[in-house]
Amino acid sequence: MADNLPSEFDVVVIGTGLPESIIAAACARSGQSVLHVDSKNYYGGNWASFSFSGLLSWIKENQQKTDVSDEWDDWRKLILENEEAISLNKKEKTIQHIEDFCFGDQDSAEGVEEAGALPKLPVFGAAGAEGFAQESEEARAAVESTVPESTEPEKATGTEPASAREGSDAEITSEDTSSHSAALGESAGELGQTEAAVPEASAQEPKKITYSQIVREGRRFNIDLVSKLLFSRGLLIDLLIKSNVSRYAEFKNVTQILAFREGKVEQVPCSRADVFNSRQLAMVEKRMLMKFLTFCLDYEQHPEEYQDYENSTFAEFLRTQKLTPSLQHFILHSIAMVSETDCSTLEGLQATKKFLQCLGRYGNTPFLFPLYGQGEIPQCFCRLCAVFGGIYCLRHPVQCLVVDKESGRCKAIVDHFGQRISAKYFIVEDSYLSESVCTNVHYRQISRAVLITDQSVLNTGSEQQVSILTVPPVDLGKPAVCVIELCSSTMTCMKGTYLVHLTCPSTKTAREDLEPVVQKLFNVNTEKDAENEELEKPRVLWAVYFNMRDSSGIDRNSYDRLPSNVYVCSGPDSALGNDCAVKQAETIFQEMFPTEEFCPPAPNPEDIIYDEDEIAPEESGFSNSPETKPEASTEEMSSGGSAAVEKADNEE
Amino acid sequence: MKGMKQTNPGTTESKLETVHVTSMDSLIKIIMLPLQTALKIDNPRTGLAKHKLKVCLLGDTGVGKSSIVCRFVQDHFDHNISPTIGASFMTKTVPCGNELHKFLIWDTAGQERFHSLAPMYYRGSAAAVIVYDITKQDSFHTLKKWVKELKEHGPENIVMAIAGNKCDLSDIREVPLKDAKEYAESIGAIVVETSAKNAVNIEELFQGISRQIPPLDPHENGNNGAIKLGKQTSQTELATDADLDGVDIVLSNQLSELALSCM
Ligand SMILES: Cc1cc2nc3c(=O)[nH]c(=O)nc-3n(C[C@H](O)[C@H](O)[C@H](O)COP(=O)(O)OP(=O)(O)OC[C@H]3O[C@@H](n4cnc5c(N)ncnc54)[C@H](O)[C@@H]3O)c2cc1C
Ligand SMILES: Nc1nc2c(ncn2[C@@H]2O[C@H](COP(=O)(O)OP(=O)(O)OP(=O)(O)O)[C@@H](O)[C@H]2O)c(=O)[nH]1
Ligand SMILES: [Mg+2]
Repeated sequence: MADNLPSEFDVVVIGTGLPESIIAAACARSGQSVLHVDSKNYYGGNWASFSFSGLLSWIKENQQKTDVSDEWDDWRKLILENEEAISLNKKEKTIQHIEDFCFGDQDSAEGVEEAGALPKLPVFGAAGAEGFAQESEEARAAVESTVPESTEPEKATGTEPASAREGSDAEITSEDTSSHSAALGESAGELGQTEAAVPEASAQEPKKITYSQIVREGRRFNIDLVSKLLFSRGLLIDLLIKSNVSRYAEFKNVTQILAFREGKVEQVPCSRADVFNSRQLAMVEKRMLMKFLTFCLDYEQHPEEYQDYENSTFAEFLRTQKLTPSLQHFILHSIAMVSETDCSTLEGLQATKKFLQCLGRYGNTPFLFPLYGQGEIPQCFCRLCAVFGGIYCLRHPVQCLVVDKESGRCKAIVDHFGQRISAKYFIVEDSYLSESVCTNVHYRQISRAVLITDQSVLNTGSEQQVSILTVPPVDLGKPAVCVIELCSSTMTCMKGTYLVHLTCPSTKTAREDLEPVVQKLFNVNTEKDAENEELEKPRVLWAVYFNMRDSSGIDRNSYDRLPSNVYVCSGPDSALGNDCAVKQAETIFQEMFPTEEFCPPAPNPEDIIYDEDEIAPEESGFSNSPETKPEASTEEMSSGGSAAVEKADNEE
Repeated sequence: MKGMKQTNPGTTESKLETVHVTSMDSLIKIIMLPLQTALKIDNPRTGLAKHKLKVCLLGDTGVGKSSIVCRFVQDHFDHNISPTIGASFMTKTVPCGNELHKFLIWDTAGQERFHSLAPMYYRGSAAAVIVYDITKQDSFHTLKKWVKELKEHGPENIVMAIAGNKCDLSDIREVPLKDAKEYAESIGAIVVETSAKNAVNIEELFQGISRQIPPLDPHENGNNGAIKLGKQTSQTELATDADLDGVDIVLSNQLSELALSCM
């Protein structure tokens, strides 16, 4: 545990978000020695996902406005005369305006605590994480009692959000009168409660889910801070496949595309099968839609169809086509997913074509969602990096970058423990840069809401649907709101609930931007005062709103005094896909190592070693001892064997 | 999907990327796809159902995690095995009752050194082997922390097996077997003292795990029809959404041809 870090690397990566993790993997893969650190004790930065209790604790941490003072100045001694230091942020300020609400009867949640896999054990949480590095006895003691309030500021940064369950101090400001999530508090210590039979929310009968059930089943939630999907022909899928990182993850198909029109949620038919099976479309409409979509697929070949409208918006162009208003709505908002006011005809055609091209690769919609949440993806790249020798340190804040005055290049970092670590290249996530470097940087914001609901927004035969819904703006010119609804089989929420993510570029606070949409789609009233029609809508059990900084698309030159060998990665952008992060990672990697290939395939064990099933045909008998004929395969012997032996077929 | 490739040669390469068709076996499998669970593949030759089990390794650095796997999978022991970098995944299949258990054994890739294991490491694990070194009291303490971490991030019904390794060195033992047994009992884990060096109890360790794994429930869809990307064995073995969609796409192509011709 007291393992010291080596003091020299080729590349130091600070932050474990998606672009940083891809770069770390690419560097390790091409033979660089990589140190990858994060000041948090979880992976992913703003790309992370949390259990329910983890999210509560993240909320709490971000509501504490306390600044971390520089209590420790000794590191300055480590800076030599011909060097200067660029301090890094201790506490990031990328999240604002967090408000959370509990709509259930949370009295019953009093004293309830999250059930673990091993109910009898004391919970291993924040204190444990800290204690991990300490004397073990001490850590155990801390764990077994309640979690001590972190008073030291530097401890607060290290506090593990994934441990809020025991947060007797979890005071969450709750504006809704019908609720206060603080009820969650009082839970620590009463370990006995855990054993209370965990009711399996039955899939069949519609059961009312209570707040205490959510708390108890909190581990089943994997709540993403950013809500994104993977375009089945997008850069991220290509990269996952190309690099073989895909073997670490599994995906679910988005099963339906929805539209919100005239106060109703409807399914958008987009594959040919959907078009022909659609009940809502009349035969004429089916024909219109097919004809138009077929045109979009090779619109470049038919310029005569659209060249008169090149200076119009796509919405205007659609009006000139033989399309009914509902079809226009579907195409504009749910297929092209573009703005009614700002999108040109060409951009709209391009978007429609991209959508159509992505259809059918993995399913009937163009999108995939990672099991356990988007937060898995950075971790998968980190694993690849680790497999190729990258060293990982969470809970590892960095004091400063050390810059050589003469050359202007960054030479080293000094970490929070006073260790000086030198490297040739430095990758820093935007939120780590202190204000002095970012004075000229203008950030946009993303508005986010996350809801836990009890029903799907569209009741179909199957309750295991993954849906994307675009809600057009009420006021023209405002951004549309993207709604992604996840069911429990995505492993992001407990059975009987849905996890709903709302996202749009901010115009105001997240709540101001998104609450109107939430009210249209969901029942946010307590049972008594709900109107009848409200009761038919899905009920919101719990909700959180927050604004997240969008640091994408910032020109490198807007950062002040940035040494040339320091590269900045941005946090998540507001777009639906992940192309921005992948592009950024590839660009930065190529700037650093122009001659190296970006993430070539890691050898696949199954490609290198013959499967026993193949070399051992029938008679060798699975019943006698396969142990004597092990199918041994070793993954990724770092021999750089990118020329993996390709076996066309691994069938048994 | 595979079926589609054969029945409909006009499909694109991208679809081939997710699935390959090469043998009659695979065709047979497609036909049976809807009947099978994702993780259970009836082996046409033996009639045994194959159950894939992800097993993750945990424990202090140097306790012998890699050595245990190396002994189990390759029946080999190397005194000078280097700390794990690079090699991080091994598989081995053993029979268990009416099933074949294919262990997919994940090593930590060194991320545990600074306590930075990614939760994705535990995802979907059927079992965890938590290793300590009987000659190092410290490693037994850390073991308890790994158990807690598993509780936090691991799957709910994970089978836990504690291995007190290096039992060939019992003359310099620091951890009494009794302590380990008591602890294991308190958390419902299997416990056994092993020696990767002398091949003591290594088989037994994994057999113990096998016995704790409930047989596949033919009604339960093992992995919820999750999709794996890329060219992988699992791809051809798993009944994925993509497979089923493939069928759907074939159907829809025909449908649309019909429909278009009616227009
Ligand atoms: C609603 C609708 C959706 C369409 N979706 C796609 C699409 O996602 N990708 C595409 O390339 N063309 C799509 N098309 C266009 C259409 O498949 C081709 O323009 C045309 O049918 C050429 O057919 P083909 O027989 O020559 O080629 P085919 O071999 O039938 O197909 C050409 C390409 O289209 C793909 N494709 C065909 N049908 C589908 C489908 N239902 N879902 C997903 N992919 C399909 C094939 O995999 C192939 O890549 C769509 C058309 C409509 C009306
Ligand atoms: N005497 C003895 N030595 C062992 C045994 N198992 C492993 N070792 C030795 O212990 C050392 C560490 O073994 P590893 O298998 O590399 O341990 P590990 O847990 O994989 O270590 P990391 O990969 O660094 O986490 C090696 O020198 C092994 O030869 C055993 O059963 N008996
Ligand atoms: Mg090892």
